[in-house]
Amino acid sequence: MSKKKSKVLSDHKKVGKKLLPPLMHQVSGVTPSHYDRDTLPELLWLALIENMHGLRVAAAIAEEIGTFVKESESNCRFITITEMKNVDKIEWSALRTHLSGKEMLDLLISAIHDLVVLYPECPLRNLMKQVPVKLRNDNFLASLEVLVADLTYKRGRRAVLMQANALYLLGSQGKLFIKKGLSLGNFEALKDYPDTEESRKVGASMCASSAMVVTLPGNDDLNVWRWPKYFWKRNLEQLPITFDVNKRSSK
Amino acid sequence: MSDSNKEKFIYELINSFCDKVKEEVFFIIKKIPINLMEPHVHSVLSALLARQGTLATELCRAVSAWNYHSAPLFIRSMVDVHITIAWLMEEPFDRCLKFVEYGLGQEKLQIEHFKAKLIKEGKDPEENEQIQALENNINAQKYTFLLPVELGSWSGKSTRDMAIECGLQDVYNFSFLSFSRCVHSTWNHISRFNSRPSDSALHRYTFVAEMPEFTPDIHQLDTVARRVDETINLFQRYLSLPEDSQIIDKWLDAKLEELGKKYRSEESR
Repeated sequence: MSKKKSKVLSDHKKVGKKLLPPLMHQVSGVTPSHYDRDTLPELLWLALIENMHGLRVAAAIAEEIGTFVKESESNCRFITITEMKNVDKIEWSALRTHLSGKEMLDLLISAIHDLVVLYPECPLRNLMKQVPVKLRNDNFLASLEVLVADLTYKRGRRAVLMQANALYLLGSQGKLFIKKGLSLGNFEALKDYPDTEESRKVGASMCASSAMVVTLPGNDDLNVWRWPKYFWKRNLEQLPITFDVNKRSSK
Repeated sequence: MSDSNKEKFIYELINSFCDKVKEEVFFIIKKIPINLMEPHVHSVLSALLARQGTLATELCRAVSAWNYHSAPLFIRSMVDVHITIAWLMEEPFDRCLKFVEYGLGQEKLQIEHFKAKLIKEGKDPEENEQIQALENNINAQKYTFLLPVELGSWSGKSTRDMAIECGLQDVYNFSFLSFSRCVHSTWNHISRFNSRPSDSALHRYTFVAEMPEFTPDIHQLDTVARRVDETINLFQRYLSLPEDSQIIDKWLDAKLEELGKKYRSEESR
């Protein structure tokens, strides 16, 4: 029996002089989202809460903020940091009061305090009556670096919990309807992520859905202030890139 | 091995290698039949083989270029020469003529650009000695007024098509293409050799430029030896000579061992 000679990249479609991979030619109108560039910084505050206080507290705070948004019929979802920029003082005050009443305000502030010190334009500064200028943890930048490195792996535990919390927050506002039986609804399973198959299914759904939470109108408008742009620029100010001018190697 | 002996080792290796390459190249060149009724066949094929030898010896003498920054610049040229020779050999009379005409036509085009530049500067090209010399050089081979200028590739085909035609598709895919990235400084080369990811997640692990200096890598010489051998093998088949596809490569292995023993035994005395 003769073997057919396998053609290199045979599953790609030739369009002009380009070979398009299956996902690009079978699914039209796909706009790629940027997890590490946009989603990670936008939801970083949720990861900071989980990092400091654990999953249960993070989920509880997310639920309470979601409840506030629903009850106050706020225009802001309070999910991405960028969208919090346009929240007015009255609404911030109302949120502070709501969280304080549930004994959650101090927990939230403790998690994001040093972020606000190092990134003074961060809208989360409005959670505090007075914007702080002194770090509580002098090693915060180093720990932030470690956390962001961890979060860079989108399917890692930290990142999945962060994305899940964002979706949970959206659900708590009554804005996310999940059909019964779908993995996306089984948040509870994530406490075991990634050690069980069910948790991995749920985690995969979270990863697949998180982009829709972060994608907002005007995201590509260069004239509009966006937290990810500020975050990455500020990182270069605080931690300049160094060049190894005299590098020698045995390559 | 002491530094002084390492230097002697390298010096002796370079000189021997260059002598060996010249010896093998000219052994073949002397076997190429000369037909003065169609001299372009002998001229082109032997000059290209000599070119292959020159590329090999020039890289061999440039020890600081024995690395992935620079060696591929030479080696890719050697692969190009190899594919060209193979293609020419398929129909030597017509194709070698085409090769010569293309080269002379390019010179003619270059001269015309030069003339246009002089005119733009308000100078008379007829009075320029350099232009006269260049034109005389062409006219000595073919009158410029009878010389066409080819604007496409010299063969009318891409290097890839030429390689496929000669059964050298693997040479093209694995040698020509892989060294091309260095020649053209494409991202898949510079991201590895002139960049490194930043150490920090707070920089999004962005690529940061660098200019690392590499210590000489003797494997580059091994690659050169194999390229020369490939081309010599082409001529062996073309000229119906006994085939040996590893003359220089085997010689190099033996030479390295010989010199290693020599300088190590000197040190142990």
